[in-house]
Amino acid sequence: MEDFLTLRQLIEDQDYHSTFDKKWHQQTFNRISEYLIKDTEPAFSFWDDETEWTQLDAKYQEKNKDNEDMLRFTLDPDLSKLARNIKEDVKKRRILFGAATVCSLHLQDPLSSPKNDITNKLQQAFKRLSKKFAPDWSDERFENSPLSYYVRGIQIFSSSETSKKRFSFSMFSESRYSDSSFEPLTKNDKKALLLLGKENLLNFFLLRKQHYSYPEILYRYEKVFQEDPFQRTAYWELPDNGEMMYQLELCDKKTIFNYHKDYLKNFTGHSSSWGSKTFDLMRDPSIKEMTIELMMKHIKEDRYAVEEFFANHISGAVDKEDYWISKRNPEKYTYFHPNELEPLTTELKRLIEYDFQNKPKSMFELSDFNENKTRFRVAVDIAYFANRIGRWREYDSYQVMIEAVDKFLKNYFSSDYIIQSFTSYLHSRVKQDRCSGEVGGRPNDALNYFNDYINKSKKTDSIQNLDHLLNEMINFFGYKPLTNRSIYIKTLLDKCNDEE
Amino acid sequence: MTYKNPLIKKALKSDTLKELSVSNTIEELHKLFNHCLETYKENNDLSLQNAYILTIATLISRNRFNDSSDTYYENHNDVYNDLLKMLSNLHFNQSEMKKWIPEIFEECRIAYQYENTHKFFAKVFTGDNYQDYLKKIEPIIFSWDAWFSVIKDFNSSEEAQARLIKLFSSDSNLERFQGNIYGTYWRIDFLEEVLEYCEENNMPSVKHHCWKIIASEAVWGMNAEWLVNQYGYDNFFGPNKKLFEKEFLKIAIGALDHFDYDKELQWKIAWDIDFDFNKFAESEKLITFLQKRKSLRTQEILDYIENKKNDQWEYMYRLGEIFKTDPELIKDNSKIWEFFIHLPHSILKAVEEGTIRQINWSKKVKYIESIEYWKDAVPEFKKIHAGKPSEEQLLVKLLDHLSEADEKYSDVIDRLEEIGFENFNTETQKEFRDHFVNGNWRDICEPFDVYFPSEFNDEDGFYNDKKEWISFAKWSGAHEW
Repeated sequence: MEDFLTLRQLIEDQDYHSTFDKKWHQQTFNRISEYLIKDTEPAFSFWDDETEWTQLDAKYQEKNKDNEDMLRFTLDPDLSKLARNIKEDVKKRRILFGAATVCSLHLQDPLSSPKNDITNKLQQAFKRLSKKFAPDWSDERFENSPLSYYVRGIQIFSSSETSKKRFSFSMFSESRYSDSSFEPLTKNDKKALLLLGKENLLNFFLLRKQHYSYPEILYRYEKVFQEDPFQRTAYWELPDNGEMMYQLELCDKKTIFNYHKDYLKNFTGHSSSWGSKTFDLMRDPSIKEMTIELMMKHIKEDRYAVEEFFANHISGAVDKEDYWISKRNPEKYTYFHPNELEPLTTELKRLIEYDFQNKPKSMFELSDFNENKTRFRVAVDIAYFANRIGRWREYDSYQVMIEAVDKFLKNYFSSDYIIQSFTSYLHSRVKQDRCSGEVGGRPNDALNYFNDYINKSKKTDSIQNLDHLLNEMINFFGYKPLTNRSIYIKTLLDKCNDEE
Repeated sequence: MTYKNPLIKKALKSDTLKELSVSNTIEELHKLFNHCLETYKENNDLSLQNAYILTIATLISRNRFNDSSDTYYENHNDVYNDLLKMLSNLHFNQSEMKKWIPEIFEECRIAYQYENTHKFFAKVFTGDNYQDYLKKIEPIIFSWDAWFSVIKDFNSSEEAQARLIKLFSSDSNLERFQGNIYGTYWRIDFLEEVLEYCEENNMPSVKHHCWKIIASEAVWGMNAEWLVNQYGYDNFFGPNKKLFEKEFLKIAIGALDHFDYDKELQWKIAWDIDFDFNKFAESEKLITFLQKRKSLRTQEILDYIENKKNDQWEYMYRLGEIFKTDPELIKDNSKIWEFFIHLPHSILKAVEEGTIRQINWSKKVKYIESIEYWKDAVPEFKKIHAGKPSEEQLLVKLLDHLSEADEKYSDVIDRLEEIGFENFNTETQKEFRDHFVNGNWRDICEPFDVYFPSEFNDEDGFYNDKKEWISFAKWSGAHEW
């Protein structure tokens, strides 16, 4: 494809395609589709032993097995070169698919007169492209997917005078995240998408989820990600994919629900304002029932996540005084009154009420790690030390301060058992905090500091991130305060009670 | 844009530019450039003339990317090095290329494009040609980094000084470089850097010509007075002191009137505009300004005290601070003075009624003690507090000790533990929950939420006995790591 850059203009410049005649579009379509379909190279994958990638990666893992530096991949020239080549190839093929889509629209109207040969070729190319991924997720955002290029082709074509406004594809607009949780597909949107074939579309969505379940390159060497490879980037894409699966009726509801299970178990509202993202397929009664059932089971494993889910879904129905929530269009979100989420509401209410009553009592009981001190005192001891560091200029010198830090930490991490328990606690916190920085502390930074301290790396001369470690220590050795989210839920549930 | 240079005109109409223009990224342009170069070579057509056209077309294409990840010159995949290599091989003529300057810069739209293009030509021109080139681009270059490097590259410090003075004497001065950094600390930071350079290179009069920008910054921006004080007021403005004061007062009076449609904004401006006016020469304008400012500040305080939404503690700190810096503002208005003088009693009443919280009690009582007109009320504060249930007093003490990082907190905990949470009165239980049971938005208990200094900036620090700023980065030695 020597003239690739010229062909790219078909999906970049809305006037460019109309400068060619039908014959040119037919020839170009044939040329591109043949190129895309005949590609028999194995797809890039982390899990296929036959790929060049896997072989090179295995070689370097073996060579560097004692090297802890997770960034070694980026420094390895062969892998870097291969990654770059794969990335370019994948991107190029997707762009060409978009260009072929533009040409196909000059040859057939997808809404009224689709032609078998054109449709077949588009479907085959899409099927082939669905299996090809770039190595790095930054190149794999949904807007770079083959389906998005297909839609972009339709949008470019339909922006011309004759076929204006026949399609909406608001679901594919990036700006929509600011004012809606989901968007419906129009009848024409559905028709155009289904031209790619129900089975192909379903396969495309399933493969994307499968790919999301493998760690990004930079993180794949980290133990915590190997244990729990579900990727944070998936939070943005999976609910949209699920929406399309549902609205296009690609499969049964149980399959669609299962597609979301990991997402739901790690639900996040994406924002500091509650309810800016909801699981909108709960508008379907049977999916709602399955979701509540899942949450009831999950509450024992990860109450934090269930509370996050719950708070986001009741906020819009109950917290109407909140400025940001009141500004939202309720049609574009899926909120429920707590009564509509039973038995989850009753269960969470019981747990939160129990905590509310018992937390202060347990704070005045003896610490699990120091039989001479209450949990409250341990927490305040650590907070006092943090406060001393915050007033750093009162130390005689930086060195004196660092020695005080060392002495303080040694006092707490006095045995292997405690170190191991605390490490696994931090790992569980990191897992909980997969959308970093949204709520809660910064466990990943705490873990990094702690690892440096335990491994006696020279970085422990710094106090950067020590505050996060001390916060986690307060929770682990002392007590964990009631979360902001628990208090928020309690406030809303109390409000509902008062109203009743 | 109509270009005069025939070579640029030719390049703009060339097929080469069409071919290069389809590129979106550095890598693509690089590839296409090499493709064009190879084609010229294969056709034995690589004349110096064609190399110039290829160079101009490449520079233009490089500035037309629609790629958000477009980067600076240093990218190793960038086309500039190959361009230089091609030109060198053909023994290019600097005088010929000098004719493209400054027109070729017309194709730049964004700061970094100016910077890239400048970095390229900085490698093309040498000796006097380079000095001539600098003179031509200094007035038009948009990137402040690149502009400053141009200034620093002048062989003659007289030339550099003349250019600097010309810039600061113009009405636009640094405005010309702003763009999306408008309203940030950038102007003062950059000015500080420029003036440091001028001092080191013996161009002391440059700072005297900064009166316009300092006047504007002192009214609308921040930190201007700090920068002036680095050099001393008289030394900074030198013979232009009067010009500064006149300009400052003109802008300041204009600013006070500017938001007359929005009282709150107008009041904010009246508080924001501050300078050591004792240094100013007496003038009618100065009197007008100070009167206007006082009137607006008084209006604001009156509105503030009439707004019942505020907590008495907030009133205490706000009015206390105003009194410490400008007692006349409080004393000269009978309504404000009455409110001010009775504030401790209003606080006591609110405490008795339980409408305000008692956190950081001792700190607040100490604050009341620090104001002459309030200190008589202190025994009453102590008496009221002594009458509270012991757990309530202890909780107040604990919070005080924690905020002061005072190790006496430990004894207080002993006593709270002896009492036990279940025996706290309802109000203290609620207070205790708010502080030590309920997490804030970061799921952290509020008294445990401490701020640690950063090793990477100079903002966390203190003044030592010699009045020198000791940042945490310096104290810890982090800036040497």
